[in-house]
Amino acid sequence: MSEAAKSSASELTAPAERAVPGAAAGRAAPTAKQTRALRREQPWRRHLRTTREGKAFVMVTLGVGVAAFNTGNNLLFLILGFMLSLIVLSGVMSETAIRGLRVSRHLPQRAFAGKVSLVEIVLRNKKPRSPSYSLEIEDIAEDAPTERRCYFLKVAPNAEQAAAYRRKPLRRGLMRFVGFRVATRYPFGIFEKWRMLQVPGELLVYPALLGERYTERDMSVSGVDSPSNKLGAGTEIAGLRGYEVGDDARAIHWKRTASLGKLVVMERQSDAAAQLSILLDNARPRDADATFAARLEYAISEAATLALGSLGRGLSVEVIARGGRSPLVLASSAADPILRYLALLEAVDAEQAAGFGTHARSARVARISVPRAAGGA
Amino acid sequence: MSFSALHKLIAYLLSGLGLVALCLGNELEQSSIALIFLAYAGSLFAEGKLLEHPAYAKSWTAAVVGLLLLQLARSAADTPTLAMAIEFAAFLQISRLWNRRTAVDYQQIAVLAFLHLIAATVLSTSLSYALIFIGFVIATPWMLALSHLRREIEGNYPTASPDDDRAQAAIRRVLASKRVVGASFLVSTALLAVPLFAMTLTIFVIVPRVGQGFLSLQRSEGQRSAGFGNQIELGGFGVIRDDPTVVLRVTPLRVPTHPSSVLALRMRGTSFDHYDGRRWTRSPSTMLPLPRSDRSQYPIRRPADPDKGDIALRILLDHLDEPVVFLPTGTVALSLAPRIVQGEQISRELIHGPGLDVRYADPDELGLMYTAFISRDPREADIAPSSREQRARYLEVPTGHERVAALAQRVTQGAKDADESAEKLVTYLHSARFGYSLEQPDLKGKLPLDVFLFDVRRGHCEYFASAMAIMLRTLGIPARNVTGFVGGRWNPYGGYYALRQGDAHSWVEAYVEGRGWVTYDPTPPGRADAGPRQNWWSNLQALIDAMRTRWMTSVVGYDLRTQAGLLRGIMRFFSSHGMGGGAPTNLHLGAADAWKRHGKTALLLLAALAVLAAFVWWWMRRRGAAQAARPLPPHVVMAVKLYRDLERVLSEYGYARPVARTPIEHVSALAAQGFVRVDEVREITEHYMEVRYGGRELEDSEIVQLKAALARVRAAKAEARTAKTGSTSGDRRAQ
Repeated sequence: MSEAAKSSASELTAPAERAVPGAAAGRAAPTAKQTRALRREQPWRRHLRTTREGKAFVMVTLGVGVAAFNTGNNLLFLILGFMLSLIVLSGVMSETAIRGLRVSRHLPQRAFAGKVSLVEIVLRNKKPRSPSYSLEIEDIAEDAPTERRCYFLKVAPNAEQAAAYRRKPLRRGLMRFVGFRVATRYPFGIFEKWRMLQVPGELLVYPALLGERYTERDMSVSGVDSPSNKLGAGTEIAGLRGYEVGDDARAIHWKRTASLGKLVVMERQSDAAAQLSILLDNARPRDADATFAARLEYAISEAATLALGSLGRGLSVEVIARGGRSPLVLASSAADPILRYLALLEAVDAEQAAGFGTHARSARVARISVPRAAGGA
Repeated sequence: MSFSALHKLIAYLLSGLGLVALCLGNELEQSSIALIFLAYAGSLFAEGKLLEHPAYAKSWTAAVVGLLLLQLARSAADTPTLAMAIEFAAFLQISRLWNRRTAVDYQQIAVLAFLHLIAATVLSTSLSYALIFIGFVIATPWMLALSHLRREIEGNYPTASPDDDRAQAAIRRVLASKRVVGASFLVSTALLAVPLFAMTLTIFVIVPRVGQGFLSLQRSEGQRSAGFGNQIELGGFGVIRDDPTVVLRVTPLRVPTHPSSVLALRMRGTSFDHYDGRRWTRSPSTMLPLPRSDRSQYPIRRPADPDKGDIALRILLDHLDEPVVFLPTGTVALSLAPRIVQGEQISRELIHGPGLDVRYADPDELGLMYTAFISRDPREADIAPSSREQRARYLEVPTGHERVAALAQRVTQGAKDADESAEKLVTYLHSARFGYSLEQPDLKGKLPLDVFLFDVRRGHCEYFASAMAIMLRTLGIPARNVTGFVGGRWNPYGGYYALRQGDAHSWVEAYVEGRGWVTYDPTPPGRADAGPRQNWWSNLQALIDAMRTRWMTSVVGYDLRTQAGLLRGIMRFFSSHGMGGGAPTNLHLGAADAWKRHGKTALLLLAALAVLAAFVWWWMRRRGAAQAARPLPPHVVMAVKLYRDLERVLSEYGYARPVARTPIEHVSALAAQGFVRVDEVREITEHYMEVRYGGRELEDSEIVQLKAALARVRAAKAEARTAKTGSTSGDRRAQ
């Protein structure tokens, strides 16, 4: 109920996530032109689509109209008026449903290319009296197809509900959100009316991580490890403390445990000099072919995977590319500075590419270069 | 009420209305109707696993196919096809009602009900249809909205495979919820019927009536009204004397301010020339078209002349089994609006036969609306003379009426002319010797007139009229029996005089040299006492008849002419207001007159609407204020207090929640900042949100648990500071 905790409705009317029609068949992402059009969309503008049931309804209405004109039967004219009025009423009620709404999104703190992340959408019905029924919200991003929509059965007046949908970024870099497509087929399901709500946002997508089968390569080690004053996976003992659930059994200090009669574990200091510099060659050769971009992505993914693995093993890590470097991330710290750097890293032309610059002499060094094209020299 | 129960109720309401609409046209046998509604009621109990069984659905499909084949076979065997089709259409709905499983089934129920309503337009045009239509206007928005929501629930809540048991359970849980739709949904959707109805009427009024003609399926059951066909048995009228069914509505074009409640309008229908001793018949003869002076005027004696002060009566005649045009006494001309077929005006055809029996063509079977012009000149009350050859047929006397002839001679002794003879006979029959009675005399093999005149001396109008006509004929005076209506009771709701089946009457027309055919009514005044009684029931019937008349004239009979008249009226209204203070014109005076007549009513109506709107606004504000001031339940107060305490503690730690940040967002922010007791904060926050806004109740054990969590947050002051310091320094080093 973490998403629904924000809801004013019970679990029974909690929102749901649904697949976007056509997404399974590889629905294309909105083009730049479409995105620009969506950005320019006026808040008052409405779009209308006739549903399958709506097409049947319109056909029956036309049939009744033809019959009424043909026979002059006033009761058929009465039914024709009724059906046309239902269409008008449908337009008014659907307008009521999609008006007075505020939608916001909560992006995940980390999102990796090719990996599903949860995006939370919060829908608030600002109308003081009337609830909004049957709303479908699609979060639209530039150059990224939306595979899932959020469905809200009922949002009470002056209340809000939250829902989450799964988004799988296809590539690293900055993902720009345009806004929300708020649609409803309420009240009769004969038309789908939708509007755009401009809610821009940005999500930095980290590089895709390689799987467990990835093996590190070409890592030269230099320098001497020395303990730091921070706790970590080093060799020097920092002190003793009581056992807590989750502690490594190998850290138990048996002698002290035996003397005190309760489990005692050793805390160790991390090795300050255990530092890894990842040299990532992002130079684009003059004869780079069409596959270079994909191969560079692989190299960046290698660097990201290596950085995360090394940080987990207690190494401080930095990534050095041509013309720039990431911040040095200390062991056991969050890898975000490196991942952010890698997310935005671009290739540079080989002729203009600078060198890797300097790195700590004491550091281990891992060199990662763009793999050769299959079948190449 | 749960969503599914409400949906079921509305589905039964709508489908029931559709089935009743199908039964309106009297096409179905009573046994078929009983079976349909028995099956309809039985389907209410079809629930649960029975519906899910594959063999159940298959057997219903087989039943539908089987009935279709059976109906085709019955139709081939000369059973009325329309009745077969109606039975099958009703069975389709019954089949759906017994197979209510998913939203699609409910949508099919709604579609079938709507198709039944459409089909009923060719089965009936009665007021009952209007009531059913209003029922549809109210119930259709409910049904369509609920069916749509159900479809969305079924389509959205099975986030996994729809066949998954968990997904089905989730759907069932939502459908059993009472929170999705409640009383407010029903009321607000029902209120939509008002604008919906207004829009429907607006569209109905403005859609041009330019079509009609290729396929007219309009049909209705005509009222059976004895006495206007080609023959009548002596004794046929008495039994309908107390029938209150309205047949004719007569509206004077100039209604007096205080119209008298009862009139004795004599509406002439059919005359009979041949009497065989027991029954009156009309001799076969060619009916000729009634001449027209223009597109709509039909002179009977002469064209209508306003200068002579002719009185105009607008007459609305129900569809009867015999298309008789009833003529008020003294009618000199008729006026009938032409029919409009494919935008062209086509004059109505009236035909007439000997004895001034006027008939009309009735292709729509909707009855007739016409205007009769009545002369104020008493001389024109008589019907124009006819030739000697034409009069000869009105002198036939059947054999065996010698006693009747002798009586006639005796009664009219000393009379100088036909008129005096007739008056003497009327006086004789009005005398105390005779009485009015609806009882049928026992003839014992004798001739009816002998029994009436010499034995029982009691009878109804038919006996009196027949006796007088035959007595006149025995005297050599041409005479004929005439049937029609005499009466007229003012209907204050509809503003017309209503003539009922019970007002059917029979009288005599005798030929008087120099005058023509003169009307004599030999029935004694006691007839008036035998009519329908006036009480609350008759008042209610008058109200219903006024509604029915309005329905028939304004809806069923609405046409291009009415539409054009309405448009002209609107244009006159606006143009007169647009002219401002210009010179008065007829147009202006007309609008001013209309304003004088209806202006106050319109102003009062507007004022009433304004008061109603102000009351609704005040009530809604009061309701909103009352809701705002309503105290929170104790468990919600406790949840709020716990969360407020948590916020205070967090504020002391330097983790105060900014105003622009929601509680859940604040939890995420604390997690990002590495707050050590973030799990406890999340637990308290989630419980707070669920209780405060989710309608969930907080149990005692949960309160204890949350208090413990709050205590842990309080105790973590040192840890929090450590974590905060460490995180800050770490970040700084990372830079």
